[in-house]
Order: sequence, then structure tokens, then C-alpha cells
Amino acid sequence: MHFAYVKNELLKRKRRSAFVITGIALSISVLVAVNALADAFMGAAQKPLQDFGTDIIIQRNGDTPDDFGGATLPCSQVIITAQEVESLKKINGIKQMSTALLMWVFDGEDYSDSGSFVIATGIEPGLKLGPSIANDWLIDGTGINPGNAGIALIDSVFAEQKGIKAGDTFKISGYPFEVVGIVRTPPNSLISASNVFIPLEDAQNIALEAKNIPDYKPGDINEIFLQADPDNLNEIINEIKTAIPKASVTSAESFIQAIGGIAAQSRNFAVIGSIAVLLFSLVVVVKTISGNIMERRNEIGIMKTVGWTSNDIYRQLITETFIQSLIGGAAGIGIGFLIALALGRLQISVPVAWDIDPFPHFMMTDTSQKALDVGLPVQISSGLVGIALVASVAIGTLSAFLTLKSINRIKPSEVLRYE
Amino acid sequence: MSNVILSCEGLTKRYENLLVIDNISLNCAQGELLAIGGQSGSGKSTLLSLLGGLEYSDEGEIYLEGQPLSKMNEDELALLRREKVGFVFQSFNLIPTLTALENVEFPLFPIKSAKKDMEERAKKLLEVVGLKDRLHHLPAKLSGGEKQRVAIARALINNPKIVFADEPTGNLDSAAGEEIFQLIKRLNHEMSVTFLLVTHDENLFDKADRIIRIKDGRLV
Repeated sequence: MHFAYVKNELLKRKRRSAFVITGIALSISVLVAVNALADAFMGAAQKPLQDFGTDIIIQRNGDTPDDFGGATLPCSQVIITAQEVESLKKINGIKQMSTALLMWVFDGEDYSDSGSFVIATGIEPGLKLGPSIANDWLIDGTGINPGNAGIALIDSVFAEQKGIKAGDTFKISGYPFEVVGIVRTPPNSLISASNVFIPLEDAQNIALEAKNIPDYKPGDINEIFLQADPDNLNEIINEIKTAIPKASVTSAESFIQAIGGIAAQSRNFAVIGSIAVLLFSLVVVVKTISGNIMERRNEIGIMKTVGWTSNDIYRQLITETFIQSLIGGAAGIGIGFLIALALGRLQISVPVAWDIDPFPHFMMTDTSQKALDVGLPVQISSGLVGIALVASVAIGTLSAFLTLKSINRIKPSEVLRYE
Repeated sequence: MSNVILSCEGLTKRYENLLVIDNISLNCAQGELLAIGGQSGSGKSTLLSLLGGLEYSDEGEIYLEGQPLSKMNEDELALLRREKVGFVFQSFNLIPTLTALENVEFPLFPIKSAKKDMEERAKKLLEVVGLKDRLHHLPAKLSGGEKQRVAIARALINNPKIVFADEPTGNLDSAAGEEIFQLIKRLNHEMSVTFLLVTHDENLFDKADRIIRIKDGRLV
């Protein structure tokens, strides 16, 4: 194989080179775009959890409370015992865990008095997942630190409705809390939203005294937020369901299913689409290379006549195709990236399942939207670039191999005598 | 005949039922300029293809420097041609995307070593054939006579034992044809390269060392 010859063939036979490069580039661009889109749907589905550092949320569905007076637990978030929490620590692949106790507190005359209703969440301060991240949302005052008691962070919307500001005292089921900070819940963090955030131990003390949380024992909680090994997520979820009977486990996959439609099938669509375009590309490139070989029949006859062996000729043609494939692959990645960038401007609506929505149906606040608008986080990973390049080179090389037989059939004596 | 470089015995070739070469035997000596003449369709180009190892005979044997060709596969024949044989064709058969210099180097492109030496030799050969100032011209920019000179230089790049030339003046006007033949004659004399020339140009026969005529596939 001779690089000057390869270069000349590629540069001086522009139409032929352009055809092969374009065929591969178009296929690779589709491959890159559909896979980037599939990854983006997955990314969008992970976003509602990722925004507060979580891979898995664990809750337990139970019965509707008999009475809505005082502190109670939503039917989608009944008690998870301290022993069950402890048992999770034995599961491999769980990197970090945060627990919370979310209560609906009806301190008015009856439950329909939404003016006296408050969602209070006990958090473990100092952690960076789940509602413990509330310190990061501060817009005024200070946060809750480990060891604090009797203090609260108030959501800015709720604070505005109630006229509460930092330094005020706010009562929950008769317990006074000093408001040390005001937080603004990000729009996509609905799942971790609350009207009031208080230290977990304070929330547990309220629950212990609450007549409508009858089975409550010290240390119990009703929400667990996990960071887990993404490669073993399904296995971890199965172990969680064994450790906590009747657990309701939410992960990115839950959101994918909730989005439904093309999004839910995006991975399958990407795989099938990729295979289809690669096969199409293979056919186009094989046809083009076969045409090239016919066009270069005389040249191949000369090669053979002047002493090129079959392997010499194969190497030459495969190198030409390899370089065309690489250029086509790189161009395809570029085009695919542009398509993906355009798709990245889209937003999709990720529905939030009722059981992970902390707000009761009768309470509609600014943060209680039931779907999250998430921008498609389109990006071209190095893995996808690698796959695209390998695919383009594979198409070219395979095409060249498929056409080698036709080279063997060329007899120099016939070609050179009658050309 | 002393110093036989090429010989064949009982050479026969058929295309389907058509007998093209019929039991030909001949010898060619080292340094000889041998012309093979005959009418169109007489089988002279087929004989050249067989002797040059471009195709296999149905019967008989060819020996190039004592090596029987019929036992070699296509790649072995290609390597033999690369080492010992040069070809010149009526239609020049240059690679259109390569310059004159690259066309001369073309037979040795697959050999990785000694690229510098190869280039020097190619330049020298183009100088010998009178194309010192056409090294970087593409074939499309050369006249017919110049193209054939490039083809002759290419045939000599591997320092061959024998050069097969199939109607080398066939596509040239008479003046250019004469120049090419004189060049062949000069190279044959100066470089002691054996030339086996197929032609139907009667004017060239007188200038060859020996003439063989062929009719209906037989020597006459």
C-alpha cells in the first residue's frame, strides 16, 4: 500500500470519494442523532431525581388516614421502620442514603381548611441528596445543620402566602420552630418540595405524639433517598423490595415509563434505527465500491500485470476505503452532533406519579405542578463517538471485503488487451 | 542458442473451442530484440500474454530463466513479473491519477523499503527516455509518444530480464512510433535488456534481431 497513491485516488477521483463519504456520513449522522436522542430521553427521565442527587426513592403505600386532624402521613408515604432502614445498609451498591419524614399537618378545625394545612418534612442536614439538599435552596437566612433542633426553613411561596420571614416563630402541631431561613424550591424539585423543613428528630418527636400516626415508633421515617451504583440498579431495586415489603421504589426507569410513547421506546428505536441505517449504508457502500472496482478494472489489471499480488491490491483498496470511512464517520458525527444540538432545544414533559408528589390533591401551589418540563440533555458521549467511528470503519472495511472476490475475477490479459 | 532466457515447448491455448495458440515452441536469448509479427487475430498478443505469465496455457510449458511458469499460482506469477519482467502496451496503460514519476515507480509501490532509491532510479529512467522535465506531469498532460516513454521507463524500473511490448507503436503516428522503436533499440543495446516485441508494423521487422511470424496460432 502506498500512501501517495491512496491520497491521489481519494483527491483526484472526487466524485467517487464524495459518494462513499456521503453515504457513510449520512448513516453515521442518523446513528449518532438517534442514539443521542435516546440518551437524552434517559437523561431527561433522570433529571427529576438527579436534581437532588438521587437515583432511587423508596416509599411505602398504605391506607388513607382515618382522620386528618393534626400530623398524619400521606397514604403513599406510610411508615418505614428504623429496622428496615438498617437492613438497607447491607445491600451492596448503595453509595449514600438519606431518610426523611414527610407529614401533612392539619392544625385547623378540619382537613378542608387548607389555610391551616402545612407539609412539614424532617430532614437529615449535612447530606446532599433528597430534601436534605434544602440548605442549597436558601435565599434568605441560614440553613439547618447537624445537631440543630427547634428551627425551620420555610418555602418562599408558602412564606409569602403566610407572611412569614426569617426570625419569626412558626408552630407545627403546637411545637414552636424558629424560622432561620427561606428557601426557593427549584421548579424541577417538586418531589423534594415541602412547605417547611425541620430537623428529622423534631419531625420524629411530632410523629411520636401524633394521634393519627398510631403505629409510629422512634426512629421510623417514611422516605428514603439513595445514591446507588447505576450499573446494578435493577438488582439493587430487587433487594430493596425484599428488605422493605410493599415498598414503592422510584427510579429513572419509572419516569421513562411515565413519559411513555417514543421516549419509552427510544432505546429500542435507537438500536433498530442504528442497525437499519448501518445496513443501508453497507449496501450503498458495497454498491459504490463494486462500481469503483468496475471503473478501475483496467487499473487493477495494470497492478496485476506489473507485479502486484492480490494482497497488495486488497491492502491498497481497503486503505482507500478505510480512510473514506473515517472521513465519512467523522463528518457523520459532526452532522449528527448538529442534529442533536437542534433536538436539544426541545423540552419534554415528565409526569410525576401521584405517590411521589408530596402535595395533596386539594392543594395546588406554584410548586405543585404535576408534570416537570425538562430540556432534553443532548450530548455526544465519547462512547457514542467511538461506536460511530468503529461502525463507519466497519462498514467500509466490510464493504471492501465483500467486493474482494470481484477483484480476483479480473484477468490482466483480458483487461489490457481489449480496453 | 546460447543464454536462453525464455523458452516454451508445445504451447497450446484454446478459448472454448477456438484454438488460438497451436503447439508453439521457441527460445529467446539474453539481450535479444525479438519481434513477433502476424495479422490481427493471428494469436500474437495471446502468445505474449502466455509468455509473460499473464495467463495459463492449456498445454505445453514456459520457462523463464529456467523456472516453469505453469506450476506457479497467480500471486507467484505476479511476484515473478515484479522481479524479472516488464510490460509495455499499445494503450500505454498509465495510472491517470499518478504523475509520470509515480507511474514509473508504480510496480514497486508495494515494496516498503528503499523508497528513496526507487525514486532516484525512476528519475534516472525518465531522464534516459527523455522526459527529465516531465516528472510531475499527469498522463493527461503528456503526448502519446511521451506516455509510451513513461510506460517504457515503468517497464524498466525493476531492472527486468525481459520486457514484453504489445504493439508499442500501435497508437502513435509514424514519427513518434519510430522514436519509440529507436528508444527500445537503444535500451536493448545499452542496458542489455531482452525485448520481445509484438507488432504488425512491417517497417519495424528489419530493425529487430530476429523475427517470428505467426498465423492461425502457429509459427510460420
